[in-house]
Amino acid sequence: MMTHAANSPDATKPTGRRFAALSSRQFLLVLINVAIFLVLTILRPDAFPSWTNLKAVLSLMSYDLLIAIAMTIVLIVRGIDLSVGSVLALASVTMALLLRADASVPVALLAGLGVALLCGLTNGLLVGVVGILPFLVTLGMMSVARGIATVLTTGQYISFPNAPAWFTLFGRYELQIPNGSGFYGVPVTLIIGLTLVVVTSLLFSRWTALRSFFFVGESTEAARLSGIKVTRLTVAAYLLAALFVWFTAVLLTSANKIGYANYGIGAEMRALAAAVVGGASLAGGAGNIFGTFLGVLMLALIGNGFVMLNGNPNWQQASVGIVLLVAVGVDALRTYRDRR
Amino acid sequence: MKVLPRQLFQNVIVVQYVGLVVVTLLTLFGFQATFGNVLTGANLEVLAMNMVFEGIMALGMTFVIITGGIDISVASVFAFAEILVAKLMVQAGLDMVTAIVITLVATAAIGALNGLLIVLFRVHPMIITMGTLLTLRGINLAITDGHSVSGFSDVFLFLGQGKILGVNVPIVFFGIAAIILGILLGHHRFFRQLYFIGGGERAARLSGVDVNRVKIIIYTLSATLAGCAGVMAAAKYGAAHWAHGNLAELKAIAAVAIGGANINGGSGTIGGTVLGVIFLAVVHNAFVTSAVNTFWYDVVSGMMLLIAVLLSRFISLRNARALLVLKQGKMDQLSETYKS
Repeated sequence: MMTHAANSPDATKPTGRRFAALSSRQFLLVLINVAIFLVLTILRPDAFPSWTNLKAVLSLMSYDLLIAIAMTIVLIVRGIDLSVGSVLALASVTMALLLRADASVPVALLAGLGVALLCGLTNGLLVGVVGILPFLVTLGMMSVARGIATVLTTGQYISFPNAPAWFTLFGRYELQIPNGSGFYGVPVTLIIGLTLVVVTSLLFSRWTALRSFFFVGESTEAARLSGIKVTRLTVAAYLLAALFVWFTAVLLTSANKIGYANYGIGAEMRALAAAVVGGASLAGGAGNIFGTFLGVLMLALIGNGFVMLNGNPNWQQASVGIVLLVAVGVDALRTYRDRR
Repeated sequence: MKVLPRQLFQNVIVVQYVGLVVVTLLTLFGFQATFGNVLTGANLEVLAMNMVFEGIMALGMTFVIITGGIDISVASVFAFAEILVAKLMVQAGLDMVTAIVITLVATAAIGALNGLLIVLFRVHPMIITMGTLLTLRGINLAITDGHSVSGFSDVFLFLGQGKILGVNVPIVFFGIAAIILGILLGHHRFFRQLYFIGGGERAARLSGVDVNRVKIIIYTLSATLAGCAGVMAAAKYGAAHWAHGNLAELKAIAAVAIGGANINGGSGTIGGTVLGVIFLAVVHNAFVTSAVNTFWYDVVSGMMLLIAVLLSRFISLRNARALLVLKQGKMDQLSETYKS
């Protein structure tokens, strides 16, 4: 816990509390996640804890997780990226169209990466160099990228039957882990998602270049005066976000065996909610990859809970909003208490 | 010399407005010359009715954006008003006036809640209104189970389909609301406070503006306008559906931004917003009449948003530089006088 809490700025502040780690947001989120897990296990002991159900929750969660990491990175430099869902769709459509045209897999993947990075670069340059508000830039990009994806495909599913089998199987591959009587199939998307959480988390706490993202977000002016290359880092943040979006696009396209212009609609909202629940702030300078992971997990468990308890699954979407408002309210209470 | 900053300020607005009007007219007449069916009464009616609900929301959005906030919950408030008014009339059997009054009060309450939470929690309005957006959209979906509600009386349908002096009722509403709100924003003491708050909240608070009260009122106004639009939309479509108005918040924001308001707050006019709304309506219509793939609309409106923002950024940068030169000149002049 401590290593992860250490890269959140509020943990670096001297709080004077004996159990700073215990009152940290990540710890609270772990507790909430465990609580939801226990409640669901008690209420539906037959269905919820089964590996089939958990596997479905976790592998679906992985896509949201990668997008949420992208959002967290951008939020740290006091940005926002509303275009994540659209760029995901555009990258997916690009790769699918190339695969359908019998391009080799590496070429298609690289083209998808190129498209995603181009969108990220445009976002980054307009925000960092020209100085337009991230909200507007990425709002425009959201519209443009989704529009191009729709124009390219005229809204149709793009299948690629001639693509090599390993590519279409890869996204649904499951690692077989023996558990005595049989095997647990661990989806590869989940493994990639968790690996990226750990790697990014470590990089953010160890690598100076990434650590300075926090300084940029905290105060652009102060960061610039202390010799940090603010513009370069801002552009880098949007590029990094685009990279994660591309990861998601590859996994999603491979797992569903189609490219589709309507992938990732509303993904930016879920990602933003998860990141804010996990400790990021629109005011910049805060954000925690591990917290974001816990936020995504919590939203996924609550969503699954609605299905498990035979409630109306339509309430699932409302739950994201309510969780977001409650998290923000708890935060306000905590800062109010701290201020006193 | 003293007048110059004022001139510069007006310069930005004039260049932007004239540019917007010219581009709008060029699009309109260009497509008229090519296709010859744009400037017909029937088409102009379609053109206006396509964007009128977003336009009504954009009016409220202008106020919110001037105070430096944002209200992305309007789209879900819009759909909620549709569903509520439909359910009250069709399923609860209330008469039209009672149903409309209850609906408008409910939407006003949602707006007041937005404002209250923003003031209370002190987080970015985008987070709070996103929480309301997701919650309400989930509620809309859950209480209708994804079906539409229909079966209105002819009197109610008049609100959306009827005409006053040959003009559709929603357009009349939009026009009257724009004129009243425009005059109020330009001249009323209360609404001038919005500019102070947007220019600098702390300064406004210190100089005696009741920032919290103003904010709550503004968010209430924004939600109520969205509610009015929702009631009329239910009448126009003859049915209420939870997916109506999806992404309308982004169109409203785009209209305000294209109309020259600064998303950071402190500037913006109703006139500019109306021009922005007309512009978006004309561009959308151009795609429809020219039978070019309407999928291109997203691409172009996103580009237009970016270009409008780039333009205003460019002009304000130039003005800032001119102001700097002016200040420098005065300093030089002063030092000259001291030397002699």
